[in-house]
Amino acid sequence: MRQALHIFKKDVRHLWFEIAVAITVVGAFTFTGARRALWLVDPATNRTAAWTLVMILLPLAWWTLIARVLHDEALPGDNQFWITRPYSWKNLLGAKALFILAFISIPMLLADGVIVRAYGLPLGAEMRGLLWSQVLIAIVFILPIAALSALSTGFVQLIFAILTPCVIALGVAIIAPDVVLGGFLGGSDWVQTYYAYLVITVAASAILVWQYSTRRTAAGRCLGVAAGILAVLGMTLIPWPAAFRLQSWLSKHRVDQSLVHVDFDSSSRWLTRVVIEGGDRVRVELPFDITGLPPNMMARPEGFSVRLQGPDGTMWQADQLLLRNAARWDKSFRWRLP
Amino acid sequence: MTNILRTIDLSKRFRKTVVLDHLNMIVPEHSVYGLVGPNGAGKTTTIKILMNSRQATEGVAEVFGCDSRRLSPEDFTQIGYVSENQQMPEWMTVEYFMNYLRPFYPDWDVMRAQELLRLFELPPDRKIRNLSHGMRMKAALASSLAYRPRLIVLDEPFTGLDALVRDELIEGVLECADGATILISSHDLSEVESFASHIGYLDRGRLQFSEEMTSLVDRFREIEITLANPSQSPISWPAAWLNTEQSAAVVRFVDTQFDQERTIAEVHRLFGNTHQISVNPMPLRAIFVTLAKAGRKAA
Repeated sequence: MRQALHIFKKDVRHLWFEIAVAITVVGAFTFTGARRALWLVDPATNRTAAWTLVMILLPLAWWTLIARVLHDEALPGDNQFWITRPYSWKNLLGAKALFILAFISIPMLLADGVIVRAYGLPLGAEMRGLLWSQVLIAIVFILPIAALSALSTGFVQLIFAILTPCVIALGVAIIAPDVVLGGFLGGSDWVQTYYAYLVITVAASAILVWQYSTRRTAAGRCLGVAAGILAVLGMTLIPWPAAFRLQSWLSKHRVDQSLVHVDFDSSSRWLTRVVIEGGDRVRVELPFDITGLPPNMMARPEGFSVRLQGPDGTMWQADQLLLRNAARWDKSFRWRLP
Repeated sequence: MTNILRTIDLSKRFRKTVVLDHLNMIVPEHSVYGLVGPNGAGKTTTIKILMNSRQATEGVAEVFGCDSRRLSPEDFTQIGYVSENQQMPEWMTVEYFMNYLRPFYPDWDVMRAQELLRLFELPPDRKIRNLSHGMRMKAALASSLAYRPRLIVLDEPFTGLDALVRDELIEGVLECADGATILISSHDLSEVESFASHIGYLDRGRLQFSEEMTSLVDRFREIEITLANPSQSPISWPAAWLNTEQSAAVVRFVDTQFDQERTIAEVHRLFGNTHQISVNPMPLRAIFVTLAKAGRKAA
């Protein structure tokens, strides 16, 4: 611990300018964040451009700080002075974690606290949420850059490491958007997000521990690439039923599915329409009646099965069609078959 | 004498390039071991594997009797390592660098550190980035001697230094070594021959020889024979004789296993009567040139 503090003090001394910049941006975030509600209700005082600028600068300042502090004892390579000195990897990693905690997480927690107070909300009641937001900031903003910094020797390598997957993702998004955007999970979309968070957290933590304990960068980089592929593939391949089952399992509200019925709404038969749109496209509009839902619960359509029978007895059947483009329209829904 | 450093069948390959080929090397305690060889021979790779900065492909490297892959921070408190291409914390001043390193070493001697700064004439308040190459090497060395390490490893420390700075560094190392084992690598034999007690010659990843300097110098002799009967020529040269040359009446060779009685007896057995046998000791450089030529011829 003494060694970790010693390294921490050295980093503070070396990176005082970067620290000052990051703290200033967090200060600007606090100021704009506390006044944002006023700006939203009073267009005369609108400063949303300032807010946007701060929201761009904040991650940039953090990323610079993280990269600089980790690159101070760069891990890849074999010429750095510190690798033949009595550094304990646990203390070195601890020093870097302490630095990030001291100059990113704690200032951000304080900033969030000030904003919450500025909105007149009780700090004690919001503390859990504030701490959770710090965890999410760590997962989204800190861990990935820390892991990439641990696998690079300087800014050029780091920027290259950031840009390469972005360019690949852009290319894939043009060819196959579903791969990048993830499969459609409707109301269970959070499962994809949290799956990505989980992969990022596990992979980034593993890379950091691996790199600091062994400095075998090639293996670390392979792990990073594998994690990226795993995150994208997982998000694409998580099936809707699995996501729905997970959500149902975690939900505090139990629904007796045997009581829920979806029937043709015969009282609104007048809404039934079949429109030939031209070519081979036919629009079918059917009113449904959903009953048996517990009070204060809303049904959200996410998929259905279709069986169509023509006058000549020809059958067309499609199972588990997901409604990616389902749009709510008053109490009705307009669904477009994929 | 215990072995401070040892490699057992150590090999390193970078894809298809063999950098080290089953290297077996022993550095005894309290020795000053000069590891010499041409550029690209594998000296730096050997040292980096010993310092656990690089991984071997095969074999074992031991430091203080332990596998170098398991070198702990405690082990590094007993090792001073200086390399010509070491990346230093450029932003630190010399004084801050020394003060920063102090808590890492339980045996750090503050007085000695100051003495070293004086000895090497290092400006304490100058940033490392503003030091010349020679000064940087001195700073690295001073920071590696202040805690009286048991093992000092110097990887090509004199490359790019003028003669004066080189002599200052050598003096500094020898003055402050206090019986430490020193492993020093160099592509230039003259840099280490004046103070090395042991010498190892590495060429294309193979250790051509490794032994005490005195025994090396003792066993090499340049021999010139004036034959009584010029037509005589040996059927096969002894394996220990290198650089063999024969003109009408004169035979020259280098005996790599010189022993006064045995060599003379061998000469008489092969050539019969001789007019004169001249035995000359060889400077280290000549020994190396002979070995290098023989090695390349064999390859």
